[in-house]
Amino acid sequence: MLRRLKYRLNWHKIPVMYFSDLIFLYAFLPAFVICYFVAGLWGKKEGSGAARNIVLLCFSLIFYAWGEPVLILLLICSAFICYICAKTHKETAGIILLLLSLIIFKYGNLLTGLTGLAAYIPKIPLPLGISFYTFQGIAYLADVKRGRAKPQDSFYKLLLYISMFPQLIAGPIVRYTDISEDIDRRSVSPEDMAEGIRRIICGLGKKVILADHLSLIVEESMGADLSTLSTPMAWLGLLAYSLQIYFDFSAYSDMAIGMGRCMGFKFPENFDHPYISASATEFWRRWHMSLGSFFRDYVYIPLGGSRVSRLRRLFNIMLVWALTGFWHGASLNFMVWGLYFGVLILIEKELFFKEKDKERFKVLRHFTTPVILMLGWGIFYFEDFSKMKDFFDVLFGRGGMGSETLVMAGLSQNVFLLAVSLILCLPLPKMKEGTVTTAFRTLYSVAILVLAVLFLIGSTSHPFLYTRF
Amino acid sequence: MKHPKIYTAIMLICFFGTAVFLNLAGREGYSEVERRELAGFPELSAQSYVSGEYFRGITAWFSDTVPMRDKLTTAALAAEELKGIRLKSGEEEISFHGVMAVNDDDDTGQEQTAAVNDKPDITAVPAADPVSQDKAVSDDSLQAAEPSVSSDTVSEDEVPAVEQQTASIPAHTNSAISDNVAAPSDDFTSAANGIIVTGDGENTRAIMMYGGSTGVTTQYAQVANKYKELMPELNVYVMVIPTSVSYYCPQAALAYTGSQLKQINNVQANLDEDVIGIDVYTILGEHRDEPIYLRTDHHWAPLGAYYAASKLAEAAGLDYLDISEYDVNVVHNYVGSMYAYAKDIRISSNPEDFVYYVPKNVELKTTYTNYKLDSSWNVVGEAEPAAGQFFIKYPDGSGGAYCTFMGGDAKITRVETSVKNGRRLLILKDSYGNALPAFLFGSFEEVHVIDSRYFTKNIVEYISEYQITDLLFANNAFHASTGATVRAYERYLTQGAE
Repeated sequence: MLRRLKYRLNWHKIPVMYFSDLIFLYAFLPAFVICYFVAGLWGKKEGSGAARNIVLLCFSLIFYAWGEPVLILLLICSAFICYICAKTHKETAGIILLLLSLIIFKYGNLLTGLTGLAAYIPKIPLPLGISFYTFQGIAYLADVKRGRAKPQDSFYKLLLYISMFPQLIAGPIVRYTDISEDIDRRSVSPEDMAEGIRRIICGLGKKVILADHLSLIVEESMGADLSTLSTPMAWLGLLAYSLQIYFDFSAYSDMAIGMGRCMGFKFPENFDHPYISASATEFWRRWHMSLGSFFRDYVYIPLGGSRVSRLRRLFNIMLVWALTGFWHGASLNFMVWGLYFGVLILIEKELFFKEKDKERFKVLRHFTTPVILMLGWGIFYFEDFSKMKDFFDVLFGRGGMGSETLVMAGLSQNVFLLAVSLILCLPLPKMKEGTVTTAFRTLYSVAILVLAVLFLIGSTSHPFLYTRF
Repeated sequence: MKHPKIYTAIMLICFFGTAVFLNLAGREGYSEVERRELAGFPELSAQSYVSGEYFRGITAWFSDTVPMRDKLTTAALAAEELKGIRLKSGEEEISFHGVMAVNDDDDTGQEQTAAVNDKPDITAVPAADPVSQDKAVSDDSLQAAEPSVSSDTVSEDEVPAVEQQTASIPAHTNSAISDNVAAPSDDFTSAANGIIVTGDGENTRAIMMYGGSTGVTTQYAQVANKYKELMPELNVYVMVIPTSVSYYCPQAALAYTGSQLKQINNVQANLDEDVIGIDVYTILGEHRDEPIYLRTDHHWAPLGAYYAASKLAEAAGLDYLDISEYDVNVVHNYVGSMYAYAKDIRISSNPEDFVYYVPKNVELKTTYTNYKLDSSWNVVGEAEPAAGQFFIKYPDGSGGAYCTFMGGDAKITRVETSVKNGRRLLILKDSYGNALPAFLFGSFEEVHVIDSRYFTKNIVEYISEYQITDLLFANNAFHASTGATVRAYERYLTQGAE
């Protein structure tokens, strides 16, 4: 209620430059497009792509400095560590240094809090996007160590890889090998440009039209006074939150991938309709894929993967999932959330769905899996365990005094929002390419742009959920 | 994609077109709809750079001051309707966005939860950024504005609830008022920020849910008793004014609001015998079919104040002017504060008439002592008393029309009338009280008005200096159950004593 009003009025709480900020969309981005275009023309004349890269690097640093005017030094230091350690083949030392910086800056407060040192050590700020850029640095060093990538000779190009603004603060986690060639040579076809723009607009729509409005339902349910929350309202809130977090996060990836494509970079896909999964294992092949594959390639497989004793494999799986959970935030509920998936995946792998049983109960599991995923988001949402318990109590019938009328109104007043959100979770049939399809795309793209700018003006930006992870 | 160049061209034209508009069209500085100064461009300093404040400020400034902001935010609200359907058929299909159930019996001494009524009226205040506007709600009510207050927070200097006393209800006016006003059962469909919106078309009404408790209202009564004890010669009246939730709250929403009647009765029950409680609840209820409350604003309408003032005049044993002895003035197309609070398009699309009454045959000499406020709305200075107009004419469509009376709150007002009966009234009030004096100019020789949020002198000295004979506490039910109001009244007794 009033908290929301206050939040809207409280500018100090508005975070930095996000993709859904008017200033990003309509001041930063146009300025960047113009400079990048001019640099491209100039580069063509000179026969070099360096000018475009320099423009991209400068804008990336401005973008980051907008949110972290001081801790941008940490980003540059991290890139420099990567650069030197790769050049001197001290990759392991580099990885340790990067991990240390992540532990100090991301988990320092939690550690000092748990050990009682908090009274002596000042609060450490959490630098924007540190989990993303540190992991990119680690991936780079690991790939160099294993000979999959050549050390980058130019510091500014490596800094460009680490700091490139489209994927800087919320992923996807781009491997150096994905774009190392693109940094030197890249081309953009008219098709790339159009698809890239369409992708950006789809992302913007997901964020501003869907996720931001779903968040209002979440606030009225999970964010409200739990003692007066009714069971149906709790489920509605949990559904809305599950949808919100997907659209919010995948929106950011869409915009990043789209912007990359417009510039000739091919960033990896990050989401593939996660909610149609029939198991937790499948979910993690479809959700935040760049993170899942990072842990698979740089943690799970180096630990021996599945070619070890059963007990060791069990340990490996739980370790990977505890880390995955913890990566999301310096709070214990994220670890519980990760372990929840670890246990689910173990159960699936070891007990039920071995390779030969893959199809068993598949139809049924398409219905049960989303519920299991939603319960996971319940753990994800509440950093306060006592609130989490209260919420789950309500969810399973020990509800507060809130009336069912709320949920009817919540449903009816958001019926189209929820319907569109649910439909967009499904893989929709591909449209046959043709003039009519392009006309249709043009129409909905313009509609999304208009609606998005209206909504952005109508309310202060809801920050992307994933950027502090 | 087929014809990718055409698609790209169209999208780039839309994109750059919007960018040119947002960057080059004139930026807004003030929002009529939200009644606030929009964010300013931040100042660069080493500190603001390091803290990130500078860039955040620019981000806020850019999105806050977009050209044609009010038109575009209104369009955005209209577009929000695309989310779903507003059901209207029957009580089981009702929504209470931002509204929580209230347990009326749970009198833990908590303060009233909703602070909308604490917002000072806009025209009376200096330019303030949005943050300080929120602060304008006096600091205690800021705490009260936190949603968590509704169930478990007790502000720290709040004393526990005092048991409701029923023994010493004096015979004259301080007896309990019975609820002879049935709440209507209209459907209502939506709300935000603790507000529900009911009805449609010309009957659209925004209502603020109430959550006061006997703990604070008991103290409110006691502070009035204290004034009487200290100044036994003074006639002391207490008028707790219900807000529209008391009369227009749909049945299905009753669970989400506390009972104002219960709190008004609690005040009555705790007043000493020689302090006179003015029952306006009953008379307002009798006239609930008349426009006694504004539909789009959190205030009552002047007509409601007329009925309330008549009860005061009766209690004071004085004549009062009949409504026919007033000139009727109308500000058409008025949309009040509830639009900005509730963010509901139906409020702005159903404006109302703001009707006020100016006494015909009464000469007024109005003197204002204006307070200077800083950007956080703290009193930082006081102007010399200056003559002014009591009634200020607002143009049609002006959202500030409630400031017709005295132009707002941050001042001391002294009105000398043509009545010569030696009765001088001092009204201690919140903004609800602003509408009252107009109907008392035919009854008292002088009417003084002091706002419970802005007063820096000593009240005992003030009363003796101006030979005040009658003192009225006039607060709406929200303010009467806010600890800050009680504490301010207590402070006035001791502050600034010579």
